[in-house]
Amino acid sequence: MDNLLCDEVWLSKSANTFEEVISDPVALKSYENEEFEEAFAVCLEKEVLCLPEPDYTKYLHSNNLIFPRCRVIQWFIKCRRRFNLSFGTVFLAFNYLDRFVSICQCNDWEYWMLELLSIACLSIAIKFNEISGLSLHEIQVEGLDYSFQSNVILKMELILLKALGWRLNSMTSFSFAEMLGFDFLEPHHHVKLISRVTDLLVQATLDQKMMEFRPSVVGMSALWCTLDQLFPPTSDTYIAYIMSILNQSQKDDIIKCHKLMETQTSMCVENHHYYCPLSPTTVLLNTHD
Amino acid sequence: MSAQVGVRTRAQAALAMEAVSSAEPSSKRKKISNSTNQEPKLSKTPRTSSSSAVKPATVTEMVQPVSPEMVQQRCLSPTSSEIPASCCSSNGSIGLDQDRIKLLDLEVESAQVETSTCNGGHEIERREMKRSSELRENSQEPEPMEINSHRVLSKAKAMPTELELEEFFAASEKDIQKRFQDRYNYDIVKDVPLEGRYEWVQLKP
Repeated sequence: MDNLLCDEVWLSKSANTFEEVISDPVALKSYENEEFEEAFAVCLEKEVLCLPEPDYTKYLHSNNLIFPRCRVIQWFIKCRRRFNLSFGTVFLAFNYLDRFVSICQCNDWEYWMLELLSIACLSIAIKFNEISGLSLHEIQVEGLDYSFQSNVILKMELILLKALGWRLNSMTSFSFAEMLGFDFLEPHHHVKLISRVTDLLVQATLDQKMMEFRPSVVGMSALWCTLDQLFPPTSDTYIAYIMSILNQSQKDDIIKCHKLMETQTSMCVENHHYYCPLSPTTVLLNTHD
Repeated sequence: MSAQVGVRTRAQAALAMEAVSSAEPSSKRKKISNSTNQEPKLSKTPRTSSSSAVKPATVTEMVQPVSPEMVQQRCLSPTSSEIPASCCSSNGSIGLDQDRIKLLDLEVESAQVETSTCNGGHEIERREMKRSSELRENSQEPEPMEINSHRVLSKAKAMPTELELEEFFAASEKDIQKRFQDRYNYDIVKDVPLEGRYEWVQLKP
């Protein structure tokens, strides 16, 4: 019986852990930790298969696609609210968009191309991740400059699927945060954590500085920031455990990303610009106000 | 069980790393001249007088170098496009001066009317839905900036032609095929192996 226990201090699923100071450390069965670590390692390997090409941020800069990309991502977020989609679906659409743009590096990107691609990305993400679907007509109801016929969108979808190698089950920053955070907390803590983490992740998606980091790094950093705010007593213990199963370069990336995220979060709060990219465009918007 | 999963993912990871190294030559296609073409389109978004007052020099700088190239593009557009409406709208958008704003609006409106008569019922339905959605946006979001920019954008831009769509699709397909070719060093079209990572051995069926 003693062989099943481990010496590590780990979070308990009882509510008392968050209400009181931890006086007696609670130990989990060792096989549960091992199972989590194996799953986490598999997800990290899987992440590599579904990333945009390297130097994607530079490519966006040189082709003036930073701002159009932000517009399109904001459209995804509007659609999420309008059609009551899950955040998992929206983050899949983000991933498809970035991968395609980095693979098919057209010399002359125009905004209508990006809108057509975005409609296809959202349509495929909905088919993949949602229970009930949306028609191509419904998707184009709001927020777009152009409208396309169904056959054009279907053609775009097929090209998108080829470009992605039909690998649609991407590991996104949201899926990492979901895996790491939600499985270890009581249900009544989910709502607070979920809304806060997803807000940070959406901001990170719009922020070009954050695009340098992998989804796993962004997801863990967002979780770290949120735990620091909502559950300070357990945050240190939890983060220490996560760090213990990572290598040094991953740790360095998370620490760097975490610092940047804290800085950007405070700046966003001061500017009162929600889901607004921190870029020269923001300066123009502030000037108008 | 986990060992098998590990083996597969490592092989795929190796392929992904191969793709990473092969992606480097494709980045050479970046051209500086193309970026200048796209900048004025972004600058068109904030058309308020306050924005032009804040940065008048940059606006003039951005407009001047682009105009000869845009004129050339629009000279080509009547021959390439079959729909006359897009030609009208493209000619209308040449003038960026504030004095011609009224003329621009009139020309754009006439262009929209022409397109609606050409396409028939579908276009009318779509525009009605767009108008209703704009009304909803007005009620939901009282911010004037976004509404104005949205309306200006929707008026100014013409739908892409079938030729433009076909070109976009063809370019994408070409990039996908090249990526596959670089990754597996094999030309599917010619059915010939190429120099690279894999060694291809012919089998007799």
